[in-house]
Amino acid sequence: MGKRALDGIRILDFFWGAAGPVATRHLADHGAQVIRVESNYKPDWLRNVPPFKDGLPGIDRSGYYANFNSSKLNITLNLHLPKGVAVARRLVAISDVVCESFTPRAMKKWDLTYEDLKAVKPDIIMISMPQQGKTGPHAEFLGYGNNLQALCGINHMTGWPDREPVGTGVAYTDFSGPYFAGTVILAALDFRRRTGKGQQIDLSQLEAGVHCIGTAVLDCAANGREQARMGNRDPRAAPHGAYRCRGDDRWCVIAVFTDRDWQGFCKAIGHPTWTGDEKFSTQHARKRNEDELDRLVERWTVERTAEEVMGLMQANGVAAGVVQNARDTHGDPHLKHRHHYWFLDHPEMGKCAYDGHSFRLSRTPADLRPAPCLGEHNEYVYTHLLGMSDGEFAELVAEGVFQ
Amino acid sequence: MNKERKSTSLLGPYRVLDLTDEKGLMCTKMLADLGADVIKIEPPGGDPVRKAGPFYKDIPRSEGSLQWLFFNTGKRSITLDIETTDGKRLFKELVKSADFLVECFPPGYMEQLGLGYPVLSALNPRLVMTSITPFGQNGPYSDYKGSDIVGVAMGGLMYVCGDEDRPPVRPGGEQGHCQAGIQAAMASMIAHHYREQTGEGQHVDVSMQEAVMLTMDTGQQSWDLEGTILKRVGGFRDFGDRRLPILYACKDGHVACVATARMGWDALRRWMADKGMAGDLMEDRWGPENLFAANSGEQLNQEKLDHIDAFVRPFFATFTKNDLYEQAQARRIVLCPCSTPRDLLESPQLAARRYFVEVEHPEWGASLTYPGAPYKLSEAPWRIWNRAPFIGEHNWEIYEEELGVSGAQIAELKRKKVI
Repeated sequence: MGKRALDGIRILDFFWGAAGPVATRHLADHGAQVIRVESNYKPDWLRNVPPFKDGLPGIDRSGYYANFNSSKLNITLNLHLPKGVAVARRLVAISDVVCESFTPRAMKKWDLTYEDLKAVKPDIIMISMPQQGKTGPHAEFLGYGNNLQALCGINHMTGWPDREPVGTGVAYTDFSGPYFAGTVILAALDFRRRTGKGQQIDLSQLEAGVHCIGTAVLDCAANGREQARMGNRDPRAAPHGAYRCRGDDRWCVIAVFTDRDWQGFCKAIGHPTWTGDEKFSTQHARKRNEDELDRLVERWTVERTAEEVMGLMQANGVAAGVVQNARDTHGDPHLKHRHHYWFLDHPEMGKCAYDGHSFRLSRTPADLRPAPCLGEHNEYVYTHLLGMSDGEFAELVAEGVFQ
Repeated sequence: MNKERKSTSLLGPYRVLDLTDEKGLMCTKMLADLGADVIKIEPPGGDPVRKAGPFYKDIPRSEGSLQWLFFNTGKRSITLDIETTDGKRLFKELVKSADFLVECFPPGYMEQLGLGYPVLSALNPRLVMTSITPFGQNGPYSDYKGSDIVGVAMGGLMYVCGDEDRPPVRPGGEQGHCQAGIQAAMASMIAHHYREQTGEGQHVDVSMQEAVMLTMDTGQQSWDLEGTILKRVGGFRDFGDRRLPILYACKDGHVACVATARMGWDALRRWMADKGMAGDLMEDRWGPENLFAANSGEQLNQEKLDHIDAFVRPFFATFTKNDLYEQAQARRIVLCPCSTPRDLLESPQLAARRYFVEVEHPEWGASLTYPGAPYKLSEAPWRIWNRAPFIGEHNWEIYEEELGVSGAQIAELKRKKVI
C-alpha cells in the first residue's frame, strides 16, 4: 500500500447521522485517522435504519451506516461519567481536529466547549455542522436532511410547473454540506501549519445549502423574480428532457444546446421529414414549438431501449444519458472500469458495496476499509493511541466508562 | 493582490488558475472565497458563461449574467487563447508560479495542446491539477458529451426524483454541476495537503457522474443488500417497504415535515387534538409508546403512515408557512418551510446570522445581495473580496506588472487575439 494523502492527520469525530460522517469518511479513505466516538447506550441512530444486510436489522448490519463510515476507527465512550469526559479530553489532546454535534447544553455540562478544548490543545480545530448554525433564533430548530433541503430552497425549484414541489428523493443536503466541511477542514489545517492557530468552524448546513441555488437567490435579489419549477426544460436548450424508452420506467435524457448539436441529433434519428420543418429550424423556433418537439422525439425514443438512444446520440455528438437506477449503476460498464464501487469484507455484513469517490488522485489514491463495528477499536485507541496500561483500561471498562 | 487577504485568509498564499466551465465554477469559487488568488482565464471576447441568463435587471450584458456574478466572486480575470503559440507560452509562465490549475475541458484536450499534466508538472512539480469532466479521464464513456441533466441521470439521482406518474425530473439549480464543483474543491484540498507535506503535486481526476452518485443516499445499498430499487415518489421518501410523507401544502406554499419522527409525534397529535382535528389519533394505540418499538429497526408500516397522514395533511393546510414553522418548532416537531428564494432573503435566521452580504457594483451605482459565508470561522475571515471581474479586467496587473510583458507586446497580443 502506497502513501496516502492525509497520513498523519487525526480527527476525533463526534459527528453522527449522515452529513458529518460523509465528510469525515472521505478524509479517512485518504489516510486521515478518524476516530468515531459513539456509545452503547446511544449508538449512531443510522445504525438502526435500513437497508440492512439481507433485510435483517442489527447494530452492525446497516448499509446506511456502513457506506458513510468506511475506513474509520470506532470507540464507545460514556460522556455521562466524569471519567468519560476526562478520557475525551485526553483524546482531544492527541487530535488535530474535533468534529462535534453536541447540544449547547451538553457541551457546557461536559466542559467540551471550544474554550475548554483550547485549554487542552491550543491549536485545536473544532468544527460543527448544525442544521442552521450555532446562533440565531432558529439555531435550536430540528431538522433532517430530508426536510432541510426544502428549507434551503431546492424543493421549490424541483418538479413540474403545474404540480407541487417535490424533494430530490434523497436527503440532499446530507450530500452537499460535507464537501464544504471537508474543504474547510483542510484549509484550516493549512492555516494552522502556517500560523500555529487553530479554528472554530460553525458550518450551517442551511447556509452551505443556499450556495447550491445561489444564482436563483441573486435573481430574486436583483430582479425580484422567484424562479419557478421547469420540469426537465432548460431555457437554452431544446430538445431537453427525459424521454420514455422501451421497457418499464426506462428513460433517456437528451440535451440539444446548439445548432451543431441539433444537426447531430437529426443524423442520429435518421433525418425524418419533420426535422426539416421550419418550426424546428433554429433554437428559437425549437423553443417556441417545444411541446410538439418533445412529442416527436419521444415517438422515436419509445421504440428503442434507453441504452440504444444514449449510444446513438453520443455517437453523433449529442449529450444524452440513461436515467439510471441502482441496478443500472451497479452494472454500468463505465463505473466498473472506474472501479467506482468497492466490495469490502465486513465482519458482520460480509462482502458488500461501498461507494468510492468522484475523484482519483494520481499519486495518492484512496484506500477504503470497511465500516467499523460498534466499539471495535476500543482497545487499540485507549491502550495503543492513548497509552493506557492494561490495568487502567480494565478498570475503566469495569466502571462503565467505555459504555 | 490585497495584502490583508493574502496574510489573514485561510488560503491567501495560494494561486489558482481557473479554466473551468459550469462543472468547476463552484470549486474555484469556494477557493476564492476562502482567500485564494483565483485567476479566471477567459477566451478573448469573454467566457461563454457570461452569455447565460438571467441577467441583472434582465439586460443581457457580459458583466450582468447572474450566474457569472455568483460563481466568480473574489476572482481576477485575464483573457488568453491557450490554443495559440503565444498563448501557450504565457500560460506556461503562469503555471510555473501557480499552486492549482482547475480545468473542465474534455479528456485529451489539454494533452493535445501540449499542456497536459505531465508537461505542466515538469514545469512545476508542485502543481495540483484538477480536471473535471462528465465521466472522468478514462473509461468507455470518457468521451461522452455531458451536461447537467446527463450527469444527474447517469449518476442515479434523477431516477428517484419526481412524481410517480410523470417522467423522472432533474433537481432544480443544476445540482450535477454543483456536486462536481464542491467535490472537486475538497479533492483539490486533499491533494494540496499532500503537496504541502511533500512538495509533490498530482493530477486530480473528477467525474460529474460519480459526484452525483454520492448523492444517491441509500439507493445503491438498497440494491446491494436487499435487492430493492428505490423509486420516485413525489413528495415522499421511499424506504423500499414503505414511503414516508414529507411535503405538505399549506395556505401560502408548502412545508416539509417528518410528522412521525419520534421526537415530535406526541406533541403533534396533541396539537391537532387541541384544534379538534386529530381524529382517533389520541387513542392509546397511536401513542408514542405503542407506535415506536423501543430502539430497534422496526418502523411504522404503510397502513399506519397513511392513516396518520389523512389527518395531518388537512391540519397543516390551515396554516401559513411561517406560522406553521414557528409553532411546530416550538413544540419540537420536525418541520420547516419549503423556502422560495424570497423566503431565504427574508429569513429571520439568516438575517440574525448576517448571512447575506452586499457587494458593491460601482459600474451600476448599486450593490447586490449575495449569499454569504457557508462557514463561520473564528480566526480568519470568509469574505467576498470583490465582485466578479470584467472580461480581462486584470490583464494589466498580471501580464505587465507580474510577467513583465511590455505595453507594446500586450497591444500586439491583443491584435493577434491571443489576449
